[in-house]
Amino acid sequence: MTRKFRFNRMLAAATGACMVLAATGCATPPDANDPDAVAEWEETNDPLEPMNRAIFDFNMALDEVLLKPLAKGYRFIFPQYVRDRIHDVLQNAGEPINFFNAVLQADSDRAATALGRLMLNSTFGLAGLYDLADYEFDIPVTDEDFGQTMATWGINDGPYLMLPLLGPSSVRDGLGRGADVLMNPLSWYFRNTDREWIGYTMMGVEGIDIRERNLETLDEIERTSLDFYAAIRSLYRQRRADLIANGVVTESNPFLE
Amino acid sequence: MMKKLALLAVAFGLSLAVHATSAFAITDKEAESFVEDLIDQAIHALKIDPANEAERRQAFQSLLTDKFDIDGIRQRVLGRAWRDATDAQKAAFADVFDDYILNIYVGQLGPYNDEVVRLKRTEQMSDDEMIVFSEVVNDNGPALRLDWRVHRINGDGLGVLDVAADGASLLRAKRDEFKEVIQRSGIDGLIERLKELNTKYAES
Repeated sequence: MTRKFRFNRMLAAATGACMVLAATGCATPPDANDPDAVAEWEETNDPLEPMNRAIFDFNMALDEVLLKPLAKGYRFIFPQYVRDRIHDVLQNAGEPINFFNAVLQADSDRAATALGRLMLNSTFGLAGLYDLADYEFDIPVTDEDFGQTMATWGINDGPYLMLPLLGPSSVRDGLGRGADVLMNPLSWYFRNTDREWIGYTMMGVEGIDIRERNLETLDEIERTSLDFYAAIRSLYRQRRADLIANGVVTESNPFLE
Repeated sequence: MMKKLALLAVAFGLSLAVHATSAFAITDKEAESFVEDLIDQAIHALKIDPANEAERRQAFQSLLTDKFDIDGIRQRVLGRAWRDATDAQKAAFADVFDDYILNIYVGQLGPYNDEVVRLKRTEQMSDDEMIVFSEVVNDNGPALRLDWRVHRINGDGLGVLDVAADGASLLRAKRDEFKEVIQRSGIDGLIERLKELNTKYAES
């Protein structure tokens, strides 16, 4: 209960910040006497839309000149095989985050999966180069993060938030990302041994890896959408709901009435 | 004697009622074979060389009319704007929307790369609605989950109302996007924008 209370205070702070930004940052709420419009406003849950759209435009501009060319170069230089090995190493390095969050969610199955994968892939998988757990034993990665953990604790996602560089998020999931970095023993190790640059490099490569994997998909969504920002917002929300429900569609219930 | 007759009549009525519902409720088998058919038809369409655009488009057009409840989709994708739309607007929207959907699918789906679709299981949502869970497996990359929401159209044949890809409903995504356009420029604005996009697609 206290957790929820604190979070509500956080939301209040966010609302306050939103008021400060009001001149440019906030969308105008609908007429309170129009219940349909109010329901729609609440469902969209994007009171910072003008600010979010500005950040989205910034991200897209940066993507065009930097991230997309990097992702294309990455694909051009490294063959699929090498990219897969890099992806597996990064995924393995993130496995402690999956483990700790599964523990925090009291999900023993997923905690065991994450721990087992970490141990197997770090040893027989040659320091994470090969995701043996998936390839040989058909145990794919279970994606858990602190945003999902907070969701299982009953904390709702709060307003939609477009983060600079990092992309779509929400107040809850944005805070969760920070917690995940702190949670990973690897980042503490790098910190305590003056090797922070390794952590930053991994984050950078991970960004390029994700972008490379989504080159075609994102292009297609942009090409076929009337409002790219709104399309991304809907897909992001639905993907998060699916992750939180661990892929149980009847629980996340994406289907409309 | 009268009592017996009455009893017989009631039993007969009951058996009729039971029979009637069972004839209309979707069964696992029916939904599964419907989706299997759909996938066969889709793979057939995908196998048409993308260079042969007209033929490919025709194949997807028949897939859309045979297997999807396009009326139900149009109505839901407009959300609450459907209620306020005039018949003329609905007709104009139907025109551009069907074209737009075809553009999306004909464009978005590349050539067939030997993907295999496996049906996993089904889940009954109501008497006339079923979700068929499937997985698309291809050589590189993780499997894609595709969940088909199948329902009975007006007590008749089956039709797909929505597909969720890795848990994201395509119908909801489009509805959310259209809502934004409708809020800004109304349903006429939406129709106009879809028309522009279709023209742009036809020219490219």
